[in-house]
Amino acid sequence: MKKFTYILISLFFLSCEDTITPELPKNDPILVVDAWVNDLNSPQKILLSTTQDYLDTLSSPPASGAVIQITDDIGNVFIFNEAEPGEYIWEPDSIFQNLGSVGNSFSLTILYSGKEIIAQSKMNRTSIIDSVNFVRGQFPEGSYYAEFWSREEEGLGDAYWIKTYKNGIYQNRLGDIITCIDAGASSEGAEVDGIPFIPPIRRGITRFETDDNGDFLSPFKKEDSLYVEIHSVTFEAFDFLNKTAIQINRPGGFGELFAVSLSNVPTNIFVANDNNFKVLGFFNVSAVHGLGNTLDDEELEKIELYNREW
Amino acid sequence: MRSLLILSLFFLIPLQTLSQESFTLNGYVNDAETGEALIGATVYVNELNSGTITNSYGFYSLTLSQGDYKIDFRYLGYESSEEIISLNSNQKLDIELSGLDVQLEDVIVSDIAEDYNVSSIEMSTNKLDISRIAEIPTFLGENDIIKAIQLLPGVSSVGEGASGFNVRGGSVGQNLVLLDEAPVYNSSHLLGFLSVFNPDAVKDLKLYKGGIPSRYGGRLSSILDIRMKDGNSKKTSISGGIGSIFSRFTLESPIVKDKSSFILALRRSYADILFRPFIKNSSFLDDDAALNFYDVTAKANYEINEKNTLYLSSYLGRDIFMFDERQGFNWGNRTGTLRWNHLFNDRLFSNFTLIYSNYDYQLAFGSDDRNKFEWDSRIETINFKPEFSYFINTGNELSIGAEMIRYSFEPANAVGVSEGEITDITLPEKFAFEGSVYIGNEQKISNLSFSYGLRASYYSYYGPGYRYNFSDEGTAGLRKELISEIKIDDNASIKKYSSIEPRISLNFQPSASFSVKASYNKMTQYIHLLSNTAASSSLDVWTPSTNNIKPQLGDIYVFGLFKNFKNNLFESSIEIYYKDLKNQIDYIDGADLLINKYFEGDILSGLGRSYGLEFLIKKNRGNFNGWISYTYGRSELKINGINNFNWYPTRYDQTHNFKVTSTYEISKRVQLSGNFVYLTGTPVTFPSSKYVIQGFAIPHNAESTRHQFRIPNYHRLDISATINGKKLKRNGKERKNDSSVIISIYNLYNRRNPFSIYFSQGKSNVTENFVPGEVTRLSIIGSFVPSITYNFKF
Repeated sequence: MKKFTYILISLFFLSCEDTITPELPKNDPILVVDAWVNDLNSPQKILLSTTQDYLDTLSSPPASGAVIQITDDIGNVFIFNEAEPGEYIWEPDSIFQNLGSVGNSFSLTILYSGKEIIAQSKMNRTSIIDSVNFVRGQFPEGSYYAEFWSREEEGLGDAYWIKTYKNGIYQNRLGDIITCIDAGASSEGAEVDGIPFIPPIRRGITRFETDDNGDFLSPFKKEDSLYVEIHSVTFEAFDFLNKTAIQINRPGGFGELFAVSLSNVPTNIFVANDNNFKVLGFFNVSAVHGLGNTLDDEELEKIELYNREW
Repeated sequence: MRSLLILSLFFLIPLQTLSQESFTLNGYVNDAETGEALIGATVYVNELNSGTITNSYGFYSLTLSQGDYKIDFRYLGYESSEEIISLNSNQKLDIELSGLDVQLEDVIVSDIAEDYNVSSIEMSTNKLDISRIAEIPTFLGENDIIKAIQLLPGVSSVGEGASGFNVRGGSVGQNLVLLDEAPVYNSSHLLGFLSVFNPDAVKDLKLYKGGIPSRYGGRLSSILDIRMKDGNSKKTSISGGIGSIFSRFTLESPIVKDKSSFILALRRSYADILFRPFIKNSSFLDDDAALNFYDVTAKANYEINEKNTLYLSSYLGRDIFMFDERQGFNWGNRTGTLRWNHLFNDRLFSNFTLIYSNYDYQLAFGSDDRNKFEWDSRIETINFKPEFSYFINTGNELSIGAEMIRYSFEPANAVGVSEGEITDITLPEKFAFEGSVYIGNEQKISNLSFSYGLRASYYSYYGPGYRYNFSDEGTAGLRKELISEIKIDDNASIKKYSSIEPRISLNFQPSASFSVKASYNKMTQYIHLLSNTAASSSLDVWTPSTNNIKPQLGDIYVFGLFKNFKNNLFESSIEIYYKDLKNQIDYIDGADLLINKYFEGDILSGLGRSYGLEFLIKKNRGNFNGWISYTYGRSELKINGINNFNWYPTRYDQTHNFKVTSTYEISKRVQLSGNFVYLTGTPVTFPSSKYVIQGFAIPHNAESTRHQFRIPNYHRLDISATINGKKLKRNGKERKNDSSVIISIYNLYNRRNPFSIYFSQGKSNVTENFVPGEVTRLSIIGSFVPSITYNFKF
């Protein structure tokens, strides 16, 4: 589908775009909770900030002074301390190597300027990555693509978010929100289960980009590394990510004919003691499996040896 | 109320108790040159200052008391014919009218007055004939029916490139588009740039925006009734054209002279050939890539005898978009119509129609057989329509009929293969039946005429299939939770609906050039086009009403004033309409409508209303002609879960819609045409802030409103010049072949009219001290577009 959009854009060269600065409505700052934590044995971070004017490009204003904790359903309490303004961290220690295991339920509690802010999540199972491979690309010639191999576990009802790190950098560019239900469905109304992740998902970690002339660049070049993580998410979190992707990944050009109206993405965070106090954001606890690879000589040899292509 | 209506229907139809003996005069009105039936030709009885018009097959019937009459047969753009009749028995009179030749035009100082605008019972109806459409300047120089009707009052679209059209604030899926009675489920080629109707094969079209007669039903907003040419029954003719985007070829010929003829019209685009150099540059498409469309429109008719005529018409079209040998996308319609016109007696005309229509699309992705995805979807319908017109007398024309439609929907046949492992995610086929019966009468009593009728419809959504039950308890605007999924046996009903639809129109004509008209319609729509994108796309699916999706209902009120000036040289009208709509569809945010068996849980339903005022002034004749149209309109929805349950404008709401189209004939060989369009910008939702989650900048609208702002207004001027080849040879003899060259410029003053404004991160990412947020104004056609087309006929 991505390809299709690119072709449309290149075909209908009549379309044109201008960046404008219209008068936009404004709102008073709203508290934003960015609480995506996981089962890895590494520091877990929750960010508190507020909304900002749409055209304001400075970093989000942090929200300091909150007291944050996560509790699980077997009585463990994890305290998050404010390390930097708005940045609250829990570090694994000798007692707790991580936040827990698959099947546990978690509650987030935030005390912030007299408000009690709460959210729930559950850690679901994730899928194990067997390999991350580089393959020979077709466009442009001499380019390299990547894909990951993971056989999704049988049984309906899993939801995943696939995150990637290229050369150690978290890929948060447009089009980088790769999510699916089971092995590749976009909703519960289609059953794609217990097979290797379908091509749009496992190959979705390859992102096509163009240079200033509109020519395609090789997604990967020699010595590039790629690390892939599969995060299990709840259905609510899947829905949140899905809607976020729809809102932020605007096709532009001719693809705008088939765009949807701007609308707010949902939140699973509530204020227990004040109905009028608004809060945005999301709380999710993931189980994670990750694996990486580097496009080095050895990998190049494998590409030739196994004639790896899409 | 219902019984009252039926009762009044019978009272108003005068019984045949005429003391004086009366006889019937009937026949067909045809074009003298080609034999084409003339639809809507006036048959005027001078002695009565009254008459009738020919129906869709060119047939008329008049019942008059014994006597001598002077009868005029008139059709705009044709020489009229005056016949003196001594009616003392039933009589058949077929008339052939000759087209007004350019040379003759100077001789006839004033051609005969046409007062149809004022005198007819019809309102909110526009008739366009193909020769008029041909004069309108167009994008890429190609005449297009759907683009032409967008110049009429009350008709709009979401924007350039958008497929379909919106009538009086209705959605694209609320229009019933008929090509020789066959419903066409997607009327676009090349996404929305051109329509599927080949103008070379079209005779005329009629758009009903209100006052819809009882013989039509099934959609809320409009009926676009397109009639194909019958084919030249006098001589063989070949015509065609070479344009910037495709070529056309049409063959018409008699099979048996004056009895039977056919037309075959072909179009093939060569966008892929033209665009290849550009695609090559983008280094993306290989030699197996294709981007083209074709269509074949064919029709044959056979007059078995004076009382029986058969018509067979068919359309086949396809858009093909392949980016290599294996991967791509194609879509198209197929229709077939078989009609039998039978004259039971001089006054009872009947037509039996059997119709097949299919729209489907197919997608294929994947590099090899071990990794691929194939998906297709279709809607297929079979209709049977018996219709009877009984010409009781000059004052009454009764129509009775029925329609039976069997729908089958294949929402998605989809198979994915991942590393050789096959996953079939095909959704089950769905079946529905829609049956309706109608009765209607047109009646004239001196300067008052009425048209009244009833349409009763019945609908059943039946098995094999599934009945999905969803919880009503969740938060409005979010996906509904599935409670149960029940398998339903073959032919067992899953859900039934029925509806009674009164249709009433009235015309009060106090003077020859002025009338007041009013109408009330109830409309019911049982099938729905699901589309949550700005413009309707080729992948949108039609879906039946179910236990969760109720039929859309509309009550439509129209009031209008009609006035002609200067012996009908100018016609004008003002109409006010109000539509009260129920069970209108919108979608939850993030709705998954395509391969999702639980999509009914993603659909929201609520109220709709649209109202407005339309103004039209039209000059039909003379060297300088055209029309000016202005519409003030609103189109709004109120749906729980959207816009805080307050009314909000639809994506196609346009407050002001002003259009001028005109043609000036400089000389017999050169003609200039122009269009000017001014439209209020369509609605858009603006965010009031943004926030960052997991490194993504998410726009936020604190008021949760929808469509609270508008994109800038749209205006555009197009011009074209048509240069006709010389009619005469040097030696003064007439040339056998005709040719013309059309040069046009779309968007002459090169305005970047916006299609939308959207909010994005642009090319940047969120970093520690930078949160991107960009506002982009997009123009689909951001420059002027010149084109040239060559047409020939011999």
